[in-house]
Amino acid sequence: MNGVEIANDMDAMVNRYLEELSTALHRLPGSRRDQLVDEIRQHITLMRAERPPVDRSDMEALLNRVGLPEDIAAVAMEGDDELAPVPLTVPPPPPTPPATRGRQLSRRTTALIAAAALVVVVLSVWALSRRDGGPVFASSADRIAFTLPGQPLVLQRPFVPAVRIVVPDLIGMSQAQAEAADAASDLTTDVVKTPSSSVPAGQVVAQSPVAGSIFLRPATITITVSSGPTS
Amino acid sequence: MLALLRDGERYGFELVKELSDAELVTSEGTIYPLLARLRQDGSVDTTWKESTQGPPRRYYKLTTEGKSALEFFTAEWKRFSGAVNGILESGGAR
Repeated sequence: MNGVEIANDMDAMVNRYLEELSTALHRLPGSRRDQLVDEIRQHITLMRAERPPVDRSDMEALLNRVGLPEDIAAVAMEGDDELAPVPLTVPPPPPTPPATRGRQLSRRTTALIAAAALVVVVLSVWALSRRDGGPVFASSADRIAFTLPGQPLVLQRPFVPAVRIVVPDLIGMSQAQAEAADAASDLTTDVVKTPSSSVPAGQVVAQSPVAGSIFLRPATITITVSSGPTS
Repeated sequence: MLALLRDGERYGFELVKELSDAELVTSEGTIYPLLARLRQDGSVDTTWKESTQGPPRRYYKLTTEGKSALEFFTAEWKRFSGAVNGILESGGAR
């Protein structure tokens, strides 16, 4: 790919991201949705100007920093009762008469629809590929990519962060156990000692950030370890 | 967020950068819906300004309500963090 093609490819990634965002925001009133999408578009433009991404994975990392469209939509709809969040894994359904709506799709229904959509995508790619050559198919835990011969077409779930680390509960562990648990989750550990008469020496009394916090990249957890009674 | 606007108006990208550099936010895009909500609450006001490069930017600034909300939160936060620090320090020494 030459420079112009790379730039076009990145523009296409941004546009697809913004489309996903717009879809995730489909329950917001149109003016609020358009405004938010515009602001995020401008944000991405400024990020690209500040540190231009050199390739596809760089651009993906940039979009991951902007965040998952669902996450942005969840914040946009928080505290807005009539916009109760509905998990959205497929494009919005065509408008249905108001009387029959009002119930959220169950998790199972949503999963079924997502599975059906995936089957349709796979079948269409297969059907297309029968016309010339075969598709290159690659699949990993968080992405499915198809590359058709000729015009490259890549369908994937691009905005799953490369890492999504959930901070474990370390309180009550020994320092060594806590360090091992952190290391297993790709986290590094900083240790602060504190005297305590109630907690045996060597045991974790506090951690920051708290258990359940989510990081999108490797991070450091500070644990406070008892050094036993002072006297 | 309100505290970042204390010293005058700023535009969205600057605010997000600052929060991101302080590692207070992992998904930068989530700041924009928050700003939209603050505007709906009447805590911030926005104006469009031309920029030397690129399209006009939306600048955010505190309203009178926003300033008093900030003063309230600042006082509450100091009280709360002071209380927690007090317990943390005396808890270990006992």
